[in-house]
Amino acid sequence: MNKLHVDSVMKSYGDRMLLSDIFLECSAGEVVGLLGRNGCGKTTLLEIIFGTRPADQKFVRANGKHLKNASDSRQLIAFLPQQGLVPHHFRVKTALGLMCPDGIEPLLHALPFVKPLLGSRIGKLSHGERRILEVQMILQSKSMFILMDEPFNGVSPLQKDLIKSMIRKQLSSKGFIITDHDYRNIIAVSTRLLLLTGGGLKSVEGEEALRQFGYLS
Amino acid sequence: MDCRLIKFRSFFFYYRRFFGPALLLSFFLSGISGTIDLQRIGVLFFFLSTFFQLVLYEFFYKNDYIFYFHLGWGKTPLWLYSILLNGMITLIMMLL
Repeated sequence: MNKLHVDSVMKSYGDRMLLSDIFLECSAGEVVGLLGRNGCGKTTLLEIIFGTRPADQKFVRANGKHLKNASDSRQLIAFLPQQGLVPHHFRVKTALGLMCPDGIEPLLHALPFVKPLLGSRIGKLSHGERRILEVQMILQSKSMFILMDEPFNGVSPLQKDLIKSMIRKQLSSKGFIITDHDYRNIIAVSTRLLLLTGGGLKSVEGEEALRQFGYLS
Repeated sequence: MDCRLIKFRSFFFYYRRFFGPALLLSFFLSGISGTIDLQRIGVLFFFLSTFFQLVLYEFFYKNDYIFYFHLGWGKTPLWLYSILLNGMITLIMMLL
């Protein structure tokens, strides 16, 4: 229990095999950093796990429950997509009210900059403000497993530190799978590092291993 | 906030996005034919709202579904409830 188990994930586009028999596990208290070159299938893998992208074959189980699509993932897996989570026409206050069932006070306490923005539409926020707000919303969800696609993208160094500290605070009760091209921050926040290359996952440790596998020069 | 209330509110935000444009265009199309006929507006509304839902959520804002998934909605229930509500609004207009 308290484990996300992903097995036998296969995905191909035409003749190109993108993901080949992927096996991945994540437990509560663990941050799995997922690295890989552009187009290697990181986002596709997260979408398949969450259930929004069909796979040729997959087996996903969270806390003993077999998940076939995104509706099954509710309250078990939350997903922060690369292109943003909250539709732009929502006001910040409305989105927070919907996404934070326990109230927005803890979030306002953690992110004081949000208070003056409560009446603004999500689309009017800067990319960085939106990203950090969405990260916090996802962390406030009751889901035990959090998938994050490029949480550090377009975010200032100070806010990256804030995101990392927010993740660490939730680590006792949640498991994370995070992918981003900002490999230094991924290494800093991860408890385990995986490299997606050639359609498969390799367990790696530190920058030297990333160089060996051709991710870094 | 109660889970059912969150689901209800989020459906309202989903539906609102195509309800307004579909209703306005229904009135407009009925108006240009010379008479404001509620039965005709109702039928137009039914097809236009379904069309707007398809265009908005399947082409322009298809990533929005991820947000609604987090709030407990699947794609099929969102479509079914929308069509049901469209049908009810159409029926009310035809009975008026």
